[in-house]
Amino acid sequence: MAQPIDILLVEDDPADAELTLRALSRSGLEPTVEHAPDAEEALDALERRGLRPRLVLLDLKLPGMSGLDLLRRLRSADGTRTLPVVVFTSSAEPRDLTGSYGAGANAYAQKPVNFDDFGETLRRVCQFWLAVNRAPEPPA
Amino acid sequence: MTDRFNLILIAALAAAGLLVLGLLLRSELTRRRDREREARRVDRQLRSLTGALRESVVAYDLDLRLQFVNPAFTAVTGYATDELRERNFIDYIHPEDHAAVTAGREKLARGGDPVDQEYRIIRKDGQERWVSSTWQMMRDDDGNPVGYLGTELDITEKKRGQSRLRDDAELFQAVMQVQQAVAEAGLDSQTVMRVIAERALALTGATGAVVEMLQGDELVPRVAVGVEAPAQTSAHRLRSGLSASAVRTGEMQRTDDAAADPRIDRRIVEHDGMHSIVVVPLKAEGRILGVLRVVAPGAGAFRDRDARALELLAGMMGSAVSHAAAFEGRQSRLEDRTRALQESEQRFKHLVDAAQEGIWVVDDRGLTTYANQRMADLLGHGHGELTGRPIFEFVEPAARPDLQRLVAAGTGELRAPRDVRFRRRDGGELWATVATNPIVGREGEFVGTVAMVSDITERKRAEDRLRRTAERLRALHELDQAVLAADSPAAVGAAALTHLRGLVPCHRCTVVLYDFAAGEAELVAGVAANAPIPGGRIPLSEFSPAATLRRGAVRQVADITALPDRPPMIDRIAADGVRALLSVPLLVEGEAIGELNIGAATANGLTPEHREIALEVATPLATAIQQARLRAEVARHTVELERRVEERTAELREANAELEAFSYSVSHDLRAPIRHLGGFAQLLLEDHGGELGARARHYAERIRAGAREMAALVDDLLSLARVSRQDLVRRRTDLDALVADLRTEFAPETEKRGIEWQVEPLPAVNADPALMRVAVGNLLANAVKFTAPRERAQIRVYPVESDGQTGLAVADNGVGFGMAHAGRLFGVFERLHRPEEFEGTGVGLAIVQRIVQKHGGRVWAEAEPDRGATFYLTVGSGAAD
Repeated sequence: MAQPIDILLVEDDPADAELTLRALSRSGLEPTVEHAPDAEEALDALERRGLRPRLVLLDLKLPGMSGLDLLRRLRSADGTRTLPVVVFTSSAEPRDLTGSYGAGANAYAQKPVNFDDFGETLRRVCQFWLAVNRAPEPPA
Repeated sequence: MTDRFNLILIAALAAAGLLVLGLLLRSELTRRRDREREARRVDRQLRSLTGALRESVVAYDLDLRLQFVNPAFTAVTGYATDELRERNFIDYIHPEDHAAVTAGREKLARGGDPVDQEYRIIRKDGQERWVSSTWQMMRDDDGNPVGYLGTELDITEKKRGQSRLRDDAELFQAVMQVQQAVAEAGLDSQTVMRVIAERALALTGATGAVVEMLQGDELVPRVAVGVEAPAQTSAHRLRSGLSASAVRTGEMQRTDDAAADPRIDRRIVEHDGMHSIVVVPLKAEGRILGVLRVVAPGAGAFRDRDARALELLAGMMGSAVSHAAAFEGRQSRLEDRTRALQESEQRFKHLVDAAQEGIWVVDDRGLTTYANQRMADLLGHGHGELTGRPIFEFVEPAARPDLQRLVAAGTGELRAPRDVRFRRRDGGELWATVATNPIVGREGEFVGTVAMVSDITERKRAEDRLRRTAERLRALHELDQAVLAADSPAAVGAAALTHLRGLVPCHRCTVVLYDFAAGEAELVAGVAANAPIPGGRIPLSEFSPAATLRRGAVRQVADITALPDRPPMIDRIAADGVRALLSVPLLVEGEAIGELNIGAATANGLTPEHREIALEVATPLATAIQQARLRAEVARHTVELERRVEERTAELREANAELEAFSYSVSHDLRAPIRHLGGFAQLLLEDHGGELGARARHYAERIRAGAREMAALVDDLLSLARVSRQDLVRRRTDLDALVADLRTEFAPETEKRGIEWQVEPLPAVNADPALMRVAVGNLLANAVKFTAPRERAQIRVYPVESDGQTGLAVADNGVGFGMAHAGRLFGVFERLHRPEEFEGTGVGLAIVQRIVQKHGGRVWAEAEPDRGATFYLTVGSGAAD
């Protein structure tokens, strides 16, 4: 069993990934984060390595398998069916919003353009879901 | 950007729509114009067709408004067309005939057959004329009645002739009776005189008749019948008076008003009260024997024909009395009696042979006992050839029952004259009016009939022509209607042929259109032996040379089997049984576009009248075919245009989908780099600010500000595009609640600034609440923004109504703007202030306008620099219920 982590960040854009990591590190939550640059690597971590993060931050527009397809796949497998997934994307398109919830997302957040807002949005989302999905107590 | 493409799409669709509509309208207009032109043409055609007619032609619509009269009608009635228009239909009919004419019209209106009637009309000058008329219903192509068409023939002369004929027949009867009385009475002159006096009384309607014989210079009454004053029945001397004049001159004397006649002794008139008097001398062999005097109390009681009758009777009496006198004087001699009879008979023959009418005497079985010369002439027989033969031999079988009634046994009054069709010896027809009178024997028994026969063949032919003309007019009218209603050349051709078949012998009739470009002719419609001929194309070479066809000449062949070199076309037609052929060109603007072919099954089967009809039909037919072709072309263009519009629409729809995808990618992709610019610039400032110089920090600040602006711009553009795309969902939207809600959003800023809000009660509107929120929100935000420099900012919101629409106005006391720039106010990226002064992308009012336009509403502004601005917003469909 892999080392338990807090957040799996699925994000293809290196700049966004860097800004996200930076914002999380400044958020006061200090979560442990693993970054997967596409859906395949995310699946590799979750299915092959059995990684069980407390939260998945998922970008929709990914090279290859899309974010929504990945989400559907997670929801169809026993091990990941209840894994909290927050869609974190640039899009404000209604169809992306409804599509995400339809595929089983737990929450949907648009990436604000302004960096302060960006950090604040991330902090709220992560604080909530990390609280909901507590890390298993370390074995005594 | 989506926005602009939408505009292009809308503009393109609108342009295409207008073009189609224009074409449709044009074709509709053309149609209507054509119809009006057609109506005028039909009117002209009617006019030219009826102009030369001796018969009156008149048309009324269903409400009996005058539609048309020909010159003959105005000539007969004496009214001008306009005067006729102002009068009622019934006004020119004789009052006694109103009931019959109205009944006839009502019968027509109920769908009855054409009505033939005779009635009197009253001319403008008060004169009365008899007309024989045919009234029929005009119908449109669907068989719906549209009006009445009447033709009238003036038959006043004929009517007069008929009454003369009746008079003559009466007279003749009297003569016959006298003849018989004379024969029976032998030489009893007293009886002869009495019989003649009685006939005179009956014939003339006189109240008294006296026969006075001359003895010396006295007139001695011998017979008096009817009312006669005693003074007149005694012998009196010839001094003055009518009797004296008659004896002296040997001429008939007559007065129509004795009281005013200087020849008559006033006392006598006063005594016996007779005002009408006729005195006829009785003559024999040039000698005056006496007088026959008839009297009646009323002035003007006798007519000319009475006088004529009296002369005739007096002549017969004179002869009879003279013979009787001779007999009485010298004892009877058989020869005398025979001579008297012969003389009388001679006189009678003389009279009947000189008659203008045929006189035909038959016995009780209808066998001819006598026919005069005129009668024989009328039938084309020699004198005497008729004698002994039954009268029925000389009439058409169909006329026999009528004639039977005329010569049937009876002793009654004169029979009403009838029109009977006789057959001439040469097989021709003789139409005649026959008036008859039974001849009664001594015992009152029926012994035979005398018939007066008057030739009316010419009039009958005129009536026939009239009826045919009326039928032709109606058929042409119907054809015009049918042809105008048809919408393809084939349908036009078929409609024309259907109606044509009732007018000309159509053994094989076709409508052929030339296609000079293809060198072919197309048979668009045809009937042969009552069955339609399938359409088809025939090489033009089977017709005449193209140049000849183009010129369009009427070709008529009395018998095509007699043609020396027959083109293959003619051979085929001949094989179908056609003998006579008539080909009429269909001319459009002087050029033949095709031809109308009429083939009759018998040689010489096509008359000049048929040719005339064909020419009449060809004109509307050619016009209608040309119109149908043009209509088809317009329709083809319309279809093509519609197809292209659809193509373009599909292309545009595709482009629009692409644009949506584009806006999606803008929202996703364009925002990311902006975020990165701003994000990293901020991290640079926050994490490494200390390491940077003041200038480097300033640059980083500029990068961050630029990114923020760009983000706002992209967001606004996206919301503009979304507004354009979004479907309208109208609901009752309470502007009061909307404004109150929006104000709370501005509350943090407005409370800090102490803005004075003045919000009046606002209406509810039928609009999309989400979009209205965006629009009104923009207006309020602007008011808040542009009042920022004011110490006492005032914003007033109040209801407005304009052009039946409701909405609100937002007035502020902000910086305002010059109305010169108001036109740019609602454009995208248009700003009337520098960005340093007021934040904003210049998209807000463009969004407002887009939203209002989607609602069919209006937004406009009034402002003055530094004096504030007022924005008005109204939405389309008014207040919500």
